[in-house]
Amino acid sequence: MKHQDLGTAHTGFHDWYWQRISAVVLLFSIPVLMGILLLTYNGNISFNQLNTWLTHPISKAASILFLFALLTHVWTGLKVIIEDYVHTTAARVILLNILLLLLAGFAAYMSYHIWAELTYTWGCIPCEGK
Amino acid sequence: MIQEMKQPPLSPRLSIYKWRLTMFASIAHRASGIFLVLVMPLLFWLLLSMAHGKTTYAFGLYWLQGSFGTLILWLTCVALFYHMANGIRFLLLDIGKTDSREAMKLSAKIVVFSSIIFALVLAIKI
Repeated sequence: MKHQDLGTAHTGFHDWYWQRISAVVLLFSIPVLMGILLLTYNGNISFNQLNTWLTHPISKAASILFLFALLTHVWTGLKVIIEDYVHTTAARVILLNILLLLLAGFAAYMSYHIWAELTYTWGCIPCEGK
Repeated sequence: MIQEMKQPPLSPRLSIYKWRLTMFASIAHRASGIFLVLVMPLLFWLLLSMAHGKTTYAFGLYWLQGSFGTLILWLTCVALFYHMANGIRFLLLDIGKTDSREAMKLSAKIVVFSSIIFALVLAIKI
């Protein structure tokens, strides 16, 4: 059910809609991810298994889908919180722009990492000896 | 009176309401959301890094199994469980399944208490 009064930017419905869509994607992907992380933590997944699973093209595509769902959800969620609690327009706009830049930066960095494994030689904190 | 009309009330106005479980559930959804924003991208990055290098894997495992890493993992799992359970509650509300006041009170109780049980069980198991 779409409302007719969409506000001045005519995008009133978008945030609400995409927040729900990303929520459903995360609802299915996060348990898998946390399951893998917890099993690794318990010592049930060796490096070779983890490497085989997460470098497979299917899991790379899934990682990209998860990444963008996560960042969409972060954006729509934090936007609502900032719009609710930051009452000075200038501060609100600046905060939202900083947030958007950070999220876009993280998305670019992670997308590049997921697909170009070579960057792991310099992109991680304890780097591989290359 | 006129002065009050000129200045519309702004959120957060927590002090004027009586605390209720449904209100707590709603605020905890935001609070856990903010915590997860800080932690989830890091954990995702950590997991992918661990999958791509033996040294990173060893470092990640060492960090996760330390007391701080375990605490973060426990907190994240609890926050995720709560945020997901309450998120499902909100999605059900959106499709009109739990519209009534009684249903919202009951579902808030279910979500909060199942999260507490989950947190305790995970604290023992982890």
